[in-house]
Amino acid sequence: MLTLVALGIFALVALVGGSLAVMLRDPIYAVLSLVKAMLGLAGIYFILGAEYIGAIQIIVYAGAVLVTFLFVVMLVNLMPADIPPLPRGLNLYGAIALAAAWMLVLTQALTAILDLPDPAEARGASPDQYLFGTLPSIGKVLFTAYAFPFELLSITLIVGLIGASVLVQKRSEP
Amino acid sequence: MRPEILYFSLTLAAALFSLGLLGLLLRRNLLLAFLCVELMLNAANLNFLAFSRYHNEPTGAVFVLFGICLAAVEAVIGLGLIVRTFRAHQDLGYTNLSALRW
Amino acid sequence: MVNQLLPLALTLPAVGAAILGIGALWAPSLRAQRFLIGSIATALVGSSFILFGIAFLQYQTPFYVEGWSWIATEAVQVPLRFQIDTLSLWMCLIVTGVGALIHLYSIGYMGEEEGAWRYFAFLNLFIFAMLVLVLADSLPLLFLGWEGVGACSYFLIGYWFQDSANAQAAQKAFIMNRIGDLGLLAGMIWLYAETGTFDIDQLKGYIYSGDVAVGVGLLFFLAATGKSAQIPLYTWLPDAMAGPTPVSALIHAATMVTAGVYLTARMDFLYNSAPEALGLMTGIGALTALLAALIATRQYDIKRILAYSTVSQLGFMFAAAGAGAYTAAIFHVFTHAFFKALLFLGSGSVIHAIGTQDIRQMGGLRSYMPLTGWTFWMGTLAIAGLPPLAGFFSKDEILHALYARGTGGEGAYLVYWVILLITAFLTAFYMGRLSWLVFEGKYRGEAAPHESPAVMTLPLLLLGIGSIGAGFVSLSPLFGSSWLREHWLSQSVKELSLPSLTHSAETFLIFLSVGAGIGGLGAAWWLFGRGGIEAEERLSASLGQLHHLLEAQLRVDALYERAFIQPYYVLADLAKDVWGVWVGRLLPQGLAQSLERLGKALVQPQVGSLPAYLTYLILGGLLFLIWTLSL
Repeated sequence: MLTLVALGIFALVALVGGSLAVMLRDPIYAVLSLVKAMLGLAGIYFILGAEYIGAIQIIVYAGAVLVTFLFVVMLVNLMPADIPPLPRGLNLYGAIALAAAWMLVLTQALTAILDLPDPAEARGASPDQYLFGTLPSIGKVLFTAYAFPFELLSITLIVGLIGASVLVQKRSEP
Repeated sequence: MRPEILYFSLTLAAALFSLGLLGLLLRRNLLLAFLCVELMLNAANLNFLAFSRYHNEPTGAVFVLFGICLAAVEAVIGLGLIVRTFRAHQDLGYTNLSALRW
Repeated sequence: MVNQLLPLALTLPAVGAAILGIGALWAPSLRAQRFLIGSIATALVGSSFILFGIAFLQYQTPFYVEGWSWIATEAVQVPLRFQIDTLSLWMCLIVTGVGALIHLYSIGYMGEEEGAWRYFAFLNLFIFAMLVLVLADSLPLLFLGWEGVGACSYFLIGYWFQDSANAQAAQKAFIMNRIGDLGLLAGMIWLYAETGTFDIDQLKGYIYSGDVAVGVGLLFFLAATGKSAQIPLYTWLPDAMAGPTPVSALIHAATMVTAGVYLTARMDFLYNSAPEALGLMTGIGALTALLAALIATRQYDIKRILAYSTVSQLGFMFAAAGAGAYTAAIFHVFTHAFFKALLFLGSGSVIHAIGTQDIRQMGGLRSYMPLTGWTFWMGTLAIAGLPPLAGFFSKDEILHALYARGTGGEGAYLVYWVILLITAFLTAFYMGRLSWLVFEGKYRGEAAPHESPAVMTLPLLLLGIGSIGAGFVSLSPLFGSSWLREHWLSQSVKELSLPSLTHSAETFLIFLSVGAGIGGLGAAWWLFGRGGIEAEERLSASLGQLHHLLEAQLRVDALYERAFIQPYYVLADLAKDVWGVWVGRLLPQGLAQSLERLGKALVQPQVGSLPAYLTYLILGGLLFLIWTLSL
């Protein structure tokens, strides 16, 4: 019960953060609201038992990625006045209807899965033995079955690094 | 794990995804639209983790890890492109970016 | 031993064609070595003849030379296999023997030609293709050789292709032959559908119902009319004289045009059960012989006279084959090869000497070129059927066969016999006219005639000896037994048995045929031997319209032009108008225009606005999701 209440709180934080990120006009506030949403998600990860992933979510997402967003907002000197207001009328309702349709379809798709029995419990595992999110279990999988994708990922990171520096570099105009 | 927790997580993920999508449709600024994409990515991550928990399998968690790394790369490249676009147009509204039309 | 040498005998001419053709293409400096090229070609065909000669002397039983698998599918299997039996070996001897002599002659005749390498390469290739034709043991292989000789004939008729008339003559020959080839192909397929095999030996084992035998027999005879220049497809042969004269001698007199006769003899088993096809064959043969002989009497081009003479003699052969006397036909092929090659080579020698083909520009040439003159006379006497020259024996055998069949109850053959007897008279007449106008009397031309070099007169002499002696391989029953028929060809060719004649009837026949020959020659002497060219002019004046009709070769070409070619053009124009406009222009244009319109319509949604694209993307993703989940 306590778990469900905690889940509900964190979910509320995530939803409110997300909604504000979508709607706020001030870009700084929007980014910070998204940080709030990320933190709420990290809390959900903790409750689900994935402490490591939750920590990574806070450090990488909330700490690094969104801070980079903030840097860019400041770099391009984005003011609230630069942001166009949200559309009104038909455009707004159309967008809401489309998003609602996605929501409907996604939940419909997911309910189909819920008819299945819990495979973990079918295997006889007790709730205390949920070890999927602990660092040793992730590390074991990461460095055995997914060692090659892991290495590829490091190459991707380097490519991203170089790509970003090349993109942002100021070139002398001809 | 009780199915209702999975159901809860999945519904939350769907809601966050749709929220991001709505933002994508409404925001007329490159940077803020990009912000919404990040939200959608996170919704996908939540799905991975919920199913990983449901099956008691670390693979899903590993994929979330990969997803976060790729999101970092994607953010860096995307932001780089945004900075360049800004330098070219002195503006981040994307409604008028149509130079590649036939 | 011989069995191993025979593949060599077959491939030597092909090797020659390859060496000369590819070698001269690859090394243009070789082309100037005309004497060397001619000698190589002659030596290869000559060795081939010697090898076949050895095979002939040591011949015991039919045997096969296996090459490799040619067509190998699940449904059809045709090996590359050659059959050496008495018939094919006999044809090989004619082809390579006469071929070698004509090669030798060509060294002299074509010595001045720039393209001699091309000429000799094709000549060698022709010998090879002809050997494939006669040695083939299955119908597709025979067809390969059949087409091969046709192609070589095309190349050699059009040898002087710079003159468009020659190129057109070559095309005419090629196209007329295609009509016939269609018959061969259709007959071949029909036979396969009936029996399931292409192998000639296996085909012999089947019993054919009358319809199949007549149908296939007529189709094969259509092929023969094309290749062997019979009515209705004969008109290409006189035009084929556009090629070099040795080519006319080899291909269009001695060997290729007899392929139809060979095919008939090869398919004896089929024709023996198709009396209707045989009757038609004799009729066509006799009619062709008569018409061609009539035309030949009124021509002035020396080669054209000989060409019509060839058509006429081929008619004799088919008449004999149609009477079921295949060996008589093959015998006439054999003797005809000698004297007709001799006559053509003699005419070539004359043309070589004075540079014209019009007999009105000749006369008295025997005193300038005695060797050519005497051998030409030898050929004339042989074709006229004077005993004991070659033509007498073979022609007598043909007339004998027709008469025997006619008196044996099939009256139509008696009519054909009479026609051929008249033709024999006409043959002697036009040949006598030719010889007297060309070689006797006074010289009427301007060029200075001279005797040809020894390399050309030697083949003339050898062929002259052949024309005298070749007939003795098959004596008529009155004088002894026929070695060719009874001891050689009977091993591989099954003839229809002829009703036997009484001794006095045979004597009567011989006197008639000799009488026809002597009568024709005498008539020719009476007119042209005494009167010369003036008699010729008087004769053509007195014949009036008939003369013009015959000189214009009965206007058959014009008839074909109006009956087939013009309607064809009309059809082609119609097709151009209907098909060309609709399929050629409107349909593609409409297709292109509608595609363009479609493209322009598809371009409309590409508004170039990112928000719009985002909406498309999201909408598309939604629809895709709905579709995959079949919600």
